[in-house]
Formats: sequence, C-alpha cells, structure tokens
Amino acid sequence: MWTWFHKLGSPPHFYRISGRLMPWFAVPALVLLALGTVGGLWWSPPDYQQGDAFRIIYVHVPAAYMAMMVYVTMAVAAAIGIVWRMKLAFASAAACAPIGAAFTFLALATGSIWGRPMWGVWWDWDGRMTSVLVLFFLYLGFMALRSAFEDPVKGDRAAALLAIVGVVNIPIIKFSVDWWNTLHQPATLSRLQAPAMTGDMLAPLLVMIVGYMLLFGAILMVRVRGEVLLREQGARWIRELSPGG
Amino acid sequence: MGGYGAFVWSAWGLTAAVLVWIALGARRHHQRALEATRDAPARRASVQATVEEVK
Repeated sequence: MWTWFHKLGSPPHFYRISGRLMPWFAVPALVLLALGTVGGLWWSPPDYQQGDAFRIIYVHVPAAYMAMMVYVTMAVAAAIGIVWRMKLAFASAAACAPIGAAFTFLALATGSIWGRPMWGVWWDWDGRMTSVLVLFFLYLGFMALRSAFEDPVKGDRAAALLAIVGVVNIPIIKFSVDWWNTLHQPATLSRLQAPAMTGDMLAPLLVMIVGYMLLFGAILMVRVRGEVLLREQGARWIRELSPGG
Repeated sequence: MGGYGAFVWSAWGLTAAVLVWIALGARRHHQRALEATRDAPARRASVQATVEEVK
C-alpha cells in the first residue's frame, strides 16, 4: 500500500499513468452526461408541485455535490502536501481549485435560476446559499493566495493552510438546511433515509452525479499533468518526453 | 416545459458552457505547460554569455 502510494507520488510515474487513464474517465463521463441529459430533460416525469422547473435539479444537485467533494479532495491533497511534502499533492490541490470554483459557480447560478420561479427571488441570504458563496470565495482565495507569493513553495504551503482551515465550511453547507430556517429544500439524497424521489426521477440524477465525478477525474488529471510539467521543468524525464506529451 | 422553458434551458445551457470551458481550459493549461517546458532550455541559453563575451 505504502509502496503504491509513494510510486503514485512520483511525478514521472503519475504523468505516464494519468495519460493512459484519462480517456477511461473522459469517455464514460461524456456518455453518462449525455444519458443524464436525455433522462433529465425528456424521460423523467414533471414534479407534481414544481412542474418542469424541477428539471434544473439534474444540473444543480451534481454541481453542488461536486463543489463540496472537490473542496474536500483539495483539502486532503493540501494536508498530504504539508505533512509529507509531496510535490504531486500540492500540484493536485492547485489543480482542484479552478475546477471546484467552476462547480461552485454552477451550483450558485443554477440554484439562483431555479429559485426565481419557485421562490420568487433570485437570491436569499440564507444559511445554504451564503455558505456556498463562502465556499466560492474560499476557492478564489486559495488561487489568489497561491499566486501572491514569488516563491511557489511558500505559496503552496500558505494556500494549503487556507484549504485545510476552510474545511470547516463543508459541514456548515451540509447541515445548514437542518440548522436554520431556509427557503432551500432539505437534502435530496441522504445515506440514512430513502430518497425523496421516485425511481424514474432519481435514475437520471444518479447518472448525472456519476458523470460529473468522472468528468472531474478526467479534468483533474489533465490539470495535474500541466502542473507537474510546470513544476518539474528542467528534470531529465521532462526533457525526454516525446513531442506532444 | 410548462412555462419554465427559459429557466430550464438557461440552467442547462450555462452548465454545458461552463463544463466545456473548464475542460478546454485544462487542455490549454496542459498545452501551455508543454510549450513552457520545451522553451525552457532555449530561455536559459539566451541569457548565457557568448564565447566572445567570455574572451
């Protein structure tokens, strides 16, 4: 296990492995996203209260899940980087930030678009929306802090600390709908309870969530590969790379 | 879409645009890194002293 962990932490090994693995994430992601789109827009029946507006759930909920999941991934990578000084861990944390920021933006924007016809407002400063907005600022802060240092090693460490401290926001997002009065509906999917949706509505949602996860995996690999190249400039294995990478 | 078409299509359209943007952005990031890596030895050479300067 530790040998595997150390081997994966080697930039040349990761660069080679990720190049081969990436299509295995990207292609199924595109297939699942296409299936989820058809299922969400046409196959699933309209909601008895929200009508067709509920179809926004198929892009909003996966984006919200990914916003949190990518942040936890980033924080774990940052912690590994700080504890074990692994260059690949810092590269992964750096690669997570713009992807997570994009998912968080999508969660906020699609939530706002869904809120307008359902609640009559584009935005409400309630616990869920405000804590997700804080998450968005955490991602932006991570990227700004990392690039604010001339020494990239210091930038990596400072941003990693911010990522670790910011994890406290994740349970706040998760439980905000239970802790405070809010316009936002409770969790759609819960590990402890049966889903609050029928099977024909739930299936496209699960397909979209898995599609988003695989897409994240593919994009993350491409970004980490770029980060590895930038950080390892001058290394012999980089000079030996064939043109086209 | 039962009167909600504008909201539903804008949410899906925005999502598709952002997902394509981050995917292409990652590809561009990797391409730029590759180019920077190939240019790196040339950049180092351009600041080295010439034989004439050393003499």
